[in-house]
Amino acid sequence: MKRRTLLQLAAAGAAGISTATLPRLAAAAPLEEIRLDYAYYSPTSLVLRRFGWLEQAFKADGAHVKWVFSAGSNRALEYLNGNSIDIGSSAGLAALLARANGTPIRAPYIFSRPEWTALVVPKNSPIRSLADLKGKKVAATKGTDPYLFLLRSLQVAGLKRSDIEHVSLQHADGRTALEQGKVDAWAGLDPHMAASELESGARLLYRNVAFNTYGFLNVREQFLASHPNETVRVIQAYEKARAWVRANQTEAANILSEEAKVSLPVALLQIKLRSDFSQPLPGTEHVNALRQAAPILRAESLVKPGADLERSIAELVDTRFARPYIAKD
Amino acid sequence: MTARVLDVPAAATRRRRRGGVPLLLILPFVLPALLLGGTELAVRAGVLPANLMPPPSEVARTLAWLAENGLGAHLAASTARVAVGFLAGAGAALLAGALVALDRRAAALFDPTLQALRAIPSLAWVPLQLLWFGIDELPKLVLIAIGAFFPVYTGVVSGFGGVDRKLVEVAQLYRLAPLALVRRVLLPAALPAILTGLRTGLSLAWMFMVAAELIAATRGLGYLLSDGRETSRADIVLAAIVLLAVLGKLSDMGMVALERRLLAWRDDFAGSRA
Amino acid sequence: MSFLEIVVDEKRYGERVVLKNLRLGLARGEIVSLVGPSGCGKSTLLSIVAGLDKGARATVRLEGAGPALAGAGAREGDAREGDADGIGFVFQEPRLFPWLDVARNIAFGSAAAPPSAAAVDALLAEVGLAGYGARLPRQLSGGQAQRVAIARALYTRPRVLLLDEPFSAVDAITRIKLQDLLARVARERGLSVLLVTHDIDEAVHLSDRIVLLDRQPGPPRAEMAVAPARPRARGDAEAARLKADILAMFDLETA
Repeated sequence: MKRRTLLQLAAAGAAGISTATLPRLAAAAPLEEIRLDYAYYSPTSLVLRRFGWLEQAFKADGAHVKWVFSAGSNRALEYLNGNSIDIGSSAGLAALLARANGTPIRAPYIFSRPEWTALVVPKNSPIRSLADLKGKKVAATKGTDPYLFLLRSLQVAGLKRSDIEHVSLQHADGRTALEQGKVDAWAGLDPHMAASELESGARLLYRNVAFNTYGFLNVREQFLASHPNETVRVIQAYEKARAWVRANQTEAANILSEEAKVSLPVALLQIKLRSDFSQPLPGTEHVNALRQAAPILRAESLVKPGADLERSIAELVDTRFARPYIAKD
Repeated sequence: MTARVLDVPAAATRRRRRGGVPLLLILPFVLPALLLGGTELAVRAGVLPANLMPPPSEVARTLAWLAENGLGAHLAASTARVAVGFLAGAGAALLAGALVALDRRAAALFDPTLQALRAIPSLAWVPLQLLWFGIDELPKLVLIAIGAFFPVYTGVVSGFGGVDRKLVEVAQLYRLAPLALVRRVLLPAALPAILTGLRTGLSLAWMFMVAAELIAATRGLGYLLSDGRETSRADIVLAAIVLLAVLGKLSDMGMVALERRLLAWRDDFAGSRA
Repeated sequence: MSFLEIVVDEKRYGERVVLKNLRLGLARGEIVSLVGPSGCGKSTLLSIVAGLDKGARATVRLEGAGPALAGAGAREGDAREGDADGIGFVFQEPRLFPWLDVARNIAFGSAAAPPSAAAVDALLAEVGLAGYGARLPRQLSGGQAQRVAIARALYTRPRVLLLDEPFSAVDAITRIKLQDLLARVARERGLSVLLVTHDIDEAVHLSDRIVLLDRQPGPPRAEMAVAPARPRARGDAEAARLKADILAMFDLETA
């Protein structure tokens, strides 16, 4: 008698779990809503959202465009993993980390080549070199490019994550903590970083363009497979925004300044001096950058032991999908 | 008039499982076993996506890995925070509660404000703590203390308030001084409610600890939790949750044991079923 | 002056006057029962004597006990803890402290000095509960608990014992046993006893004097002496006659 009840319970339990996941695995239906993110570290996304070009592109289909704010790569990737957005913006290395840990995404488009992160110290800091960071408190947002930048920079000086006291704060809070003297250094991200430099006189302790891993536009694998046409239209819209930003840098800076609530000089710094919008198609350059960066993921145990990073890179970077739609300069 | 002797049937013998383990020992494990087993099967069969729900076997592997890579430090940090925060909050609550329960003017002065503060949810305190106390240990301990404070305070106030007036009258016969009255009559009589409050306060301390460690921690189970979240490691998230559940359960078991020792004199339903 | 002298000028609950112009005196070793309908103030009177009720205009004097126990000039707050002013009280419910064992309950009155195990054991034997010292209240029957309550009242060696319907909550057989216990204890110690009761049989069996109160605040309706010497047998013809007289008095009242 008891065994029968147990089996019945088990069957009911399994049935319950599978029913709960069925809607997620449903076959491609006509698209009712396209969900994507916008972020202060992706100026083109802000422009796109401001001018409503995507809404226009999808009006004929009757599809609704939903914009979700990403406070950092960590959020964008979390939303992608949880199927809260279909298309999200993140740093390349962060996307690789997520992919290696099982997030089902592909990146068919590069939204910018930024130098958007560096290690920042307050104006009168006694810290002069990377080695001085040993034992100090450093703020960084886990799972984002600045965090990975921090780890790679430490490696340059022969240090590890355990050699510093890492304080986990989202980008904006990290800047506040730095300026209030609560942390000794901060792995900064534009525009917050630019704002901190211009407004509080913070100093960039260490820069390394090569350690910045590009802005990846990630698409959920399932969405890409079931709605390739819609994805194309998004990429085309992004192309339109990219062209506009390159032709109207100051206006673009205005938009960034309004959205991110930073001053115009800060926005100009980010767009004019620290962003490069010239190479949107993923290619060898980007794959190599990821290959160079990948070892840190293993060294700091951010990926599961035994993860095949080479394979994850191949799965992540889609060098062909967007080719027909990229305007030749 | 002859008295009739009624036939009283013999008590039915209770059927025992031949050589089996008593049912009450097995039952607590049935649900967890079903859930874990069901999840493992579902993920292996592809019904549940592994990036959203890592199978229990993987979580176990992650726990083993963590055990060799600094888990001890995380456990120690979290446990220490809960201990200090709980002691501070519960201690303050015992004093405040006793004061409010025994003195009408103190009650009028403090209780309305405290009841209003009690309504504030834990996460709402976080930004304030950040602002005032920064990101080090102090805001975390304050947050945990706040969490522990209110259940204990309520337990003390209602415990003292609910003491049987009849018992207090007996004490009045002996002309007990106020302090002796509290110590010899009110406190023991209120002890069941106070201990319930302490037990609730302890479990809330664990909850608030997680919220506190999400502020800006460098160590601890909450840190692990957010670490797993930010790097798309659902297995780490689950491992942290499992550990939190275990630690919370262990500390609760400790409280229950304390309750049982201190309240062995109680004459209530739970005791009669034991 | 009597051994215990009680004078109540007035006691009111809010607007309602409960007791008024009441004088009552007890001689040394005398057992007096207070009998009357509900609401006549007999329990209130007992509370006043015990010092539990501070809101009455009343004076209570116990011979040899110094200033009055209640009323003008009464001792307040400077009494020695546990003293109980030479008065013991037994309530209707046992009111034992559930977290203390029987021995500690009995010795509750001795906060100042450590409890005397010998005294506790002697009392336990006297109330018929020898060896019960380590039990907890929840392990006692109603009758047993009331015995402990009596022992507790006796622990401080009172000279006056006040009882408020002490046996109304137990069954008939236990009640008889407890009445016998009370009679014996009072006799052996020469206690003055003021007993509030609904049970007329009990009053007639135990008391030297029965004081009848009625709902009208004022002096007692009647006071009747009970002639036969104690200890008495039950089922006495004299007792039955007395009971009939008392009942008749209250029948007349309600007519």
